[in-house]
Amino acid sequence: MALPLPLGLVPSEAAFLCEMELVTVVPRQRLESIELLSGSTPKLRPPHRADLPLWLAILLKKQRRANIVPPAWLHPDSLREIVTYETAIDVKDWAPPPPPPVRADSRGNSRRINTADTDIVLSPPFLPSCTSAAPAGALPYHWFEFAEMILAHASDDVPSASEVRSLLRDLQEARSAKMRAKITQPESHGEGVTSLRGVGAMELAESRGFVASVAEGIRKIGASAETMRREEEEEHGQDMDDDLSDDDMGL
Amino acid sequence: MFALASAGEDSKPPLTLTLPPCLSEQVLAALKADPRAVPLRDQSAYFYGVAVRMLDLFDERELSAILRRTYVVRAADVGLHARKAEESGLGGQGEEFLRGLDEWERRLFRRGHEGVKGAKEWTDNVKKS
Repeated sequence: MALPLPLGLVPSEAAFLCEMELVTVVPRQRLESIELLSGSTPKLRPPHRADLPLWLAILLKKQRRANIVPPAWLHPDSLREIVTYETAIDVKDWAPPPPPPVRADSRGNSRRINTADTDIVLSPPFLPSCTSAAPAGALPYHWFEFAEMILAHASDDVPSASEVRSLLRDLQEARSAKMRAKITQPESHGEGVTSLRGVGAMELAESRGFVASVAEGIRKIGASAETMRREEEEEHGQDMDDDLSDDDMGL
Repeated sequence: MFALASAGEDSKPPLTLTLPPCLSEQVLAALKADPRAVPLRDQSAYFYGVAVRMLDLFDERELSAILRRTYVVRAADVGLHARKAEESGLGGQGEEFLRGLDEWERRLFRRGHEGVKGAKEWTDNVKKS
């Protein structure tokens, strides 16, 4: 291998991608629109909220030119709800990812706004999952990195930051235990297929090496049994083919 | 070959293959009882490596099933220890378990620990910067 880096994203890369997430800020100073590679940012006018990329929001926060509005899922109540879900309601799978964005019409129905009949269908990294409009009670893909960065740079904007911090630790522990249980009980899910729905980017980066190694070991142990099974199946398969052709003849 | 196959009246096979001592009946029985309690390293530093080679040679379904279960059960513990390695409070039992890992499991431990360490380093760096 030319590169000494392991396969997949390492934690710092996952965090770098997370900095592209949009986050809501309340500006304290006026700022004209900036042309960025990802598009131009909205003009900042002090009392009005605006959505900025996380890296820019943290920069402005450090310069005391803006305050960050944390998303609803970072509230202690929402986190406590998720901890309950992870530890008591569903002890095998992870809490589901946030639902797709919906919009209500005037007749009291709600419709998804992110379907194929609109121009662009957005998938998780591009959904505004960390703005103030993000729903509570579900963790987005970049939840861990985002929460850590917000707590490190804008802890005064997060309500009861210390409680949030300890709840995040609980979540991390509960979810990593699930990851270990999932990968080491492949039979429980049938056919050695495991669903990782709802797992965050940092959790994947963290456990990728371990999970891949466990799967590789199971494969090696089962390899000889597998070849034997294949051979048997091939023999049986030929018989089956004969039967089938006989049936065809009969029809 | 034919000559060997019918080698006289006492028709003993000219060649018998036995499993190596690290895969003996006693070891397998112990693994069946509790995979976590057996220090595999004392049997062989390359326990799984040897076992997989043996599985290639012999048609041993039971051995294959026992190995798979052993590997999976122990892997869960290895993962837990890899995560908790930093927080020293392992106790004597944890150290004993880690000493008894064979080469495959040591690699597993290293990979698991690297991942956890990477995430931890990043988290610590965020706080500093």
